[in-house]
Amino acid sequence: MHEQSQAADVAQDRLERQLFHLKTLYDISREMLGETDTGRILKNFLLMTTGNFGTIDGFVLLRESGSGGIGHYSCVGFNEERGRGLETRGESLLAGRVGDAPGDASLITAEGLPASVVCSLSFTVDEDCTGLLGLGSKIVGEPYSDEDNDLLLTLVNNLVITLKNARHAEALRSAYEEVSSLNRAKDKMINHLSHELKTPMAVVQGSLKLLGRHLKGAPGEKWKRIYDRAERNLDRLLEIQDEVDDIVHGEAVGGYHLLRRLLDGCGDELEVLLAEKGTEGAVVEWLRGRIEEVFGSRECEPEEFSLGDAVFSRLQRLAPEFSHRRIDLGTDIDAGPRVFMPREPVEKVLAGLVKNAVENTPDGGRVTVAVQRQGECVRLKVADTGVGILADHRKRIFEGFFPTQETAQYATKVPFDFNAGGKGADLLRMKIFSERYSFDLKMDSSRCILLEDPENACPGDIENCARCQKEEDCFESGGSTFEAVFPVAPAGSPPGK
Amino acid sequence: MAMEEVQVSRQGSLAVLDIRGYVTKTSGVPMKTAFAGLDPAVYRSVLFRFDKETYVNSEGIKTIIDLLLEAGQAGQRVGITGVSDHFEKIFGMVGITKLTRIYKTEEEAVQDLTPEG
Repeated sequence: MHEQSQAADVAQDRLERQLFHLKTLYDISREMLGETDTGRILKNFLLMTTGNFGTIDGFVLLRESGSGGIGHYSCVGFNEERGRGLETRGESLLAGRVGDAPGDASLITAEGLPASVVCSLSFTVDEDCTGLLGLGSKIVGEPYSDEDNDLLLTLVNNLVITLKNARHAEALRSAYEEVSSLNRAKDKMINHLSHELKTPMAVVQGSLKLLGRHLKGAPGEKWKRIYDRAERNLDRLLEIQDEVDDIVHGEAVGGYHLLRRLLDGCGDELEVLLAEKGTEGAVVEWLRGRIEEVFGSRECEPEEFSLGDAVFSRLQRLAPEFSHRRIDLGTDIDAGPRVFMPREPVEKVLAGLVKNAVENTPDGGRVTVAVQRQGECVRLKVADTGVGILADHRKRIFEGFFPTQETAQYATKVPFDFNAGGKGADLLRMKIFSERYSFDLKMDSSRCILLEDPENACPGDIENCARCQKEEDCFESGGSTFEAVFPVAPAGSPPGK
Repeated sequence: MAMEEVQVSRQGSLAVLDIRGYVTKTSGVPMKTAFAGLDPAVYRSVLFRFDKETYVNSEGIKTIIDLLLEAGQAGQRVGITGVSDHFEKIFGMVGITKLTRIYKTEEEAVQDLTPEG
């Protein structure tokens, strides 16, 4: 009876010990979950392990094979001098262990460590990182049992997993920082390039206009063709430059402030001098506007305005630009809903969406522009019955410089022509506007079923489509809808001009 | 429940630290703070008064071991009372009982730890 009671006590003690060990294992797993600071991981691990086994001294260190030195070190119970000695000895002990399979942890006989370190265990985190754990003797004076060693190996395997996660997190963080830094450098370079191009392009544009005026009376039509080609391509360059400026959030160009100061200081004198050459009227005001337009900053002030009115007015100015196309432009515009944001980006978004729709819709097709309130949002929707976008391209459509057509297909480069296309920067600009001015941009598209075979091409006119019997056949075969969803202006927003 | 603060009461040269809740590395901080405030020249002995609900994990145990060693170096006597049977066994297993004595009752501890008791 007495023996039975003793056996029960022993079993009870064993159970309680195992329970405590399991709790340590649980605590280590839980506390280290999501921890990415290697120094903190090692310190916590050491505290728990020494507490679990009841030891006063302990250390853990990590060696990086790349740098050939100790990357992290944590110790308890050792004074500073002995701690430094441990670090040096541990480093040389681990130097010979590169090449072990990741995750391998094993008890080792670590010669050269202080006599108080009675249990040593090496482990491999990955091919570049190995570690060493050393524990002092137990306060109770017992040696480490097989059961202790098994637990220690399990604890260290947990440590290895946590360290691996931390190293991956660190690698990700470092890669992200590098990408961010490269991105900043790229933005800076594009911004600089854009500014550098701005002044000579403005000069070329002015010179070309002047040349056109001089040549107006010249005989023959040959120069006109050359002139138109130059003007068309310059417009295209200016358009790209304008898009890039919006994308990089262009600030005022270097010469802007100087020109403004000159104009402010000698406006009257300039007007008098120009009058001598026969140029009269509000020249200075015109000049001021042009300087603002060409060299000014892209900062826009938000204001409250009717989205429907702004869209309607912009559409009226835009429609003549594609009057050479047979596109049925439908509108469903509610002038009621008001938004609070800068007007210029809204107008650019509308122009970009309409241009995109027209350029992707064959003659005989339909483009519909709608503005409707829905709850606390105002939706600007531009739908077309065009060729639609390939499924693979849909995911990348807002990435920028991603043309949805092959470059050979938009060879004419005349805006609003079918397949005129572009470099795709316009859609990237819209995406950037949406992030900058907090509105949503959505797209839904289905590729024309008749174009599923990449060999087939849309002829650009429904009348010439061999597969369409009537216009409706084209309307039902595919199309795209782009939506910009703006929040309704909060009550009390400053009204627009 | 994590331990947020440690109550200290004084009985002559004996300081009594009330340790409740869940003793971990983080919650061991108030224990260390309270202990650091006890001048060894004034408080010759310290009693850690647990209750049966107090839970101590391995980090908490390491904190207690460190405090016991610190007290020993400062020449203070330390006692523990109020721990559950489970933790009495664990304290024995990790060697805390080698560093200090666990008293069955508070009266016994006070009597032993104070010269006036």
